[in-house]
Amino acid sequence: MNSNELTETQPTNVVNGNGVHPLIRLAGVTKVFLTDEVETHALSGIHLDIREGEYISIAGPSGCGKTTLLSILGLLDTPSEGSYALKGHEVANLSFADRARVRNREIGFIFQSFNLIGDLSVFENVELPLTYRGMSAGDRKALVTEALERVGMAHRGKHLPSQLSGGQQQRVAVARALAGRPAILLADEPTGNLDSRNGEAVMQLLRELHQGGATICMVTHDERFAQHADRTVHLFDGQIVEDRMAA
Amino acid sequence: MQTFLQDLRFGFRMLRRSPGFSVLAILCLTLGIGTNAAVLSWIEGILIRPYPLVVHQDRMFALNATTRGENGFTGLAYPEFLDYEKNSTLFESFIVDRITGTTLSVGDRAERASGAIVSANYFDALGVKPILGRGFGPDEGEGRNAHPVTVIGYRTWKDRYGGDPNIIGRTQYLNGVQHTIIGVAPEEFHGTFIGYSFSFWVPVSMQETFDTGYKLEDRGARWIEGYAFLKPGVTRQQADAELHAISQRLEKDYPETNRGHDLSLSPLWRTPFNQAGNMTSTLTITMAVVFFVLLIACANVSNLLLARSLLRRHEMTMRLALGAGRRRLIKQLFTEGLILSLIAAVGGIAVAYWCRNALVLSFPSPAAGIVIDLPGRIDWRVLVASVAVCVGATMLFALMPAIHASHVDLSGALKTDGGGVVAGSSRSRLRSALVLVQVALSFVLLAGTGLLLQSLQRMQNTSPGFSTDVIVSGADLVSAGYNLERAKAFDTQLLDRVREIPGVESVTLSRLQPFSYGVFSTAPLTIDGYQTAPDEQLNSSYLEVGEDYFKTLGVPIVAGREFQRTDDENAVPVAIINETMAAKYWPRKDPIGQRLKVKDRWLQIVGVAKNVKYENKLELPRTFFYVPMRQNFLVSNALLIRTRETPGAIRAALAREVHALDPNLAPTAPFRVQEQVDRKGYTQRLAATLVAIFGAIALFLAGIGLYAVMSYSVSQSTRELGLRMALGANTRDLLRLVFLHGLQLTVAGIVFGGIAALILTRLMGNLLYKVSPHDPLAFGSALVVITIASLAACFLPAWRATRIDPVQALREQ
Ligand SMILES: Nc1ncnc2c1ncn2[C@@H]1O[C@H](COP(=O)(O)OP(=O)(O)OP(=O)(O)O)[C@@H](O)[C@H]1O
Ligand SMILES: [Mg+2]
Repeated sequence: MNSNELTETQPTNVVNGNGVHPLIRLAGVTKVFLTDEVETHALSGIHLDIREGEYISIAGPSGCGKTTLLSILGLLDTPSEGSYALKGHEVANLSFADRARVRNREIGFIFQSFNLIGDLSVFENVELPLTYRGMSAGDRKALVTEALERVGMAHRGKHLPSQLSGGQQQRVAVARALAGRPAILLADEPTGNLDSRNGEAVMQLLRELHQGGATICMVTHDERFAQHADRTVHLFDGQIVEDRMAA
Repeated sequence: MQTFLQDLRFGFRMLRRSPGFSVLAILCLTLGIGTNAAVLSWIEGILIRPYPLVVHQDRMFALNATTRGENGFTGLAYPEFLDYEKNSTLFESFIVDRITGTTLSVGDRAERASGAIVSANYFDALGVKPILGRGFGPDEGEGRNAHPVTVIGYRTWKDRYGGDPNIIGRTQYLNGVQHTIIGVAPEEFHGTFIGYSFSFWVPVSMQETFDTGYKLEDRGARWIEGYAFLKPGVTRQQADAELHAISQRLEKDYPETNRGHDLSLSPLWRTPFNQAGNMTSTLTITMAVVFFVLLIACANVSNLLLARSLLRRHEMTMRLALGAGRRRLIKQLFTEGLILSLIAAVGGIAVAYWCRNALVLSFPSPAAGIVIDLPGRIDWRVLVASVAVCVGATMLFALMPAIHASHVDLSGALKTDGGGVVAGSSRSRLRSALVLVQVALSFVLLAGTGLLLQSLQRMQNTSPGFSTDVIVSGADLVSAGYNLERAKAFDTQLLDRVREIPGVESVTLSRLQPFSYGVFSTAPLTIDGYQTAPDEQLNSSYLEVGEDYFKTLGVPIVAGREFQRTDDENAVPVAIINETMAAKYWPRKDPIGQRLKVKDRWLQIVGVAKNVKYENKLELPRTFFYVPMRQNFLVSNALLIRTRETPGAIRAALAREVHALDPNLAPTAPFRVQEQVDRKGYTQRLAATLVAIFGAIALFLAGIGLYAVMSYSVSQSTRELGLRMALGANTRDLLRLVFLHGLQLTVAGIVFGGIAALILTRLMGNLLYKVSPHDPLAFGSALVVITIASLAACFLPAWRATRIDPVQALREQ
């Protein structure tokens, strides 16, 4: 299946300045959480376009809605209101199974706490998203090896995550995100659990990936790391208060 | 003590704090301990101390009379019994206790009643005092038919005589003879025959009234069953040696009748002449099964404790950090376990008490009026054993979790979750192992159930060698006081009349109906031309049958001819032998025309019949022969009818014909032999029923165990499952993941269970009929049932796995 067959829904006829669809378009996205009859407006009226090949960092104080925004971008969660077009297709209201499929093919996640599965080897961890595609073992092996090579972990394929350092674990997590050649990499504070040297190394890796053409959307507190991106979006209280291209 | 009380108090508090856990654990243990207590109470009440009110049951043994070269119990002759009684020194007493039956009627009611012919010392030796009147006096055991007196059972007194306080001295016809009621047995005393509750007892002097022929002076008639009480301090070995010495003396004194005879003692649970043997093998298997149920229940509780100990890791860490020793912690956890199992033990004993008479439910009474008695008995021994089971269970289920919990890593426990790695399943490995054990045990039980059910079915489908559609009826001529001559005339005319009833194909007489509880005649034999070994005593059972017997029962005659009407007292005495007998004594000769001598009479063999199973379907081929009724007439006979009609349909016609001959007589209710055959298979049915019930309980417990582990494992891997969803796993992938995990455990359990079952089912060999202990169908069904059960157990956890919110799961650090 190629990327134009994302869903059965009609493409939204929104066209950007270059005359092509942006990779991602959020329009008027709102997310309201209801707990114990208390409404939390985690996001309100978010408009955001992400073009292919862009490297965006999302910044803002704790609780401003960064993770929520990333969850919606990653189709882990659905907006309460608003529309979300991915590659020109509306995806906000897909079924559970369709969301899983789109997530699997178009999204690569990198988490603050790497989230490798302890019982699986490095190779198997990276292979995991591919196993959900019904791909042949040979094809999977090729993609996994390629991804591991790109993060410089090809020689540790047989190791268990517990046998790796934190920095290495995060690199494996990046390889897992990359392996399926997703349309976009979403990273939620990828350096949060790392010391500054290892953090630096992971940022360097993302930078290289970006230079190789990858679209990246990263949440970070750290001003230094935010500067790696081409564009920084500032959130405050669920709203975009600043959207600035790097100098 | 102080700390124990403290632990106790804390334990109760902990149990109250997690009531769901406590209730589930107590439920599992109640099932485990309850089933064990129930089976223990059956073993106590049916096998170990089967006779309430009887004193010194620990010194009471069954007399096991055997004959060299023959299988099993062969009975004692009365003169012989007296010789043993007189010549032994190590015994307190010997008693005769021979089961018999009669038709009791009071007013217009007529019912079968079972009773016993007993020695005069019976009630005294047992230490049982009648609640009204007295037991038999020493003189009442002597004199041919000289003492028509009877002691009746409590229930008979209540039901039949309305508990009449002036019953003593009243008379009752028993087998046509007026007997004086001299006593009423206590309510709890049901006689000394495992399986039956007796309605009356008569002294041995009345033997002839209740049996065929006068046997009290006949050394060849082996009809006595009985017991002996040892003197205190005498061992069974010493007593056996003395009996053996007497047997050898008797053999020398009476070579004609006593060659090869011996007498030894059997513990009550191996009594050769009542239901003890069958019940022993059935209850042994049942005990093994409930032990498995207990193990499974313990594994469940272990699992629950392990799960809880993870939740209590913080508490444990705190206690250790505050300086408690590991030993102290283990004691605390044990105390909690003990509280659980003691509560369960109380519940379990209540369950056992409630089930104590459950066995009777699977035994249809063989005839109206006959009372089956298989009581469970909860005495201090059963209580002690149950408490031991409970303490043992606690050790089993609390030990692992206690050790596990007390080995928390102090430094590790204070850290948060191990960094970026999603928790693996290593911690639940122990719990998985427990589930595996449960599945394995259930597999063994299910395979065993399958084998027993199949064996039961095979047995039901096997022909005993005659047509079981034959209908049995007859008239109780003995009770009606007929003598031999009148009986003969009556039977001859009845046969002629019944033969004319529409639908009747053929009809015959037989002294015993097949598969009854009656005993065949036996006699020492002399075979013309057969050289006996020096210590060989030929002996065979035989049956007195009418003309057309083989035709009516559909037993093929393989050589010679069937009995005819002309084989009467004026003709040459003849016999028909079975194939086994033909092969044994005339291996290379045609037996037709050969002779054998029974009771000083030479019989000429006129036919060879196919072997027939007359007592149960498991019996082995044995020598057997038939003699014609008209040459060996008896008053009491069964009428066997081959017809297409049902017993109900033929009843009226039968009654008409009997009435026509004697207006005071009515035929006994006709029934098919098949009914009797079914009744005789009850031990197999009982074993199958019990194992099936306990197998189902085991499966249920194992299912709960698997369910608990699977839901726990799903809740523990919420994060992993959430991650997989984030990576694109859809519902099907998640379901597959959980089901596969469950199936892995199941398959491993089945493999272990399969191996164990292959080894263990071989022990069931003697309960199985024409089924290999490794029967693929039984094993296959067990596999299917367990797989379905485990899929069912996984269903809810798997469904829950698909409901996980990935955002939430990944947010929780
Ligand atoms: N499932 C939920 N139920 C209720 N409220 C929620 C839920 N998830 C998030 N919130 C609320 O939504 C708001 C935004 O949360 P979010 O996790 O997006 O913040 P964040 O910017 O990622 O913060 P941080 O920098 O601390 O990670 C917060 O006020 C949070 O409490
Ligand atoms: Mg966040």
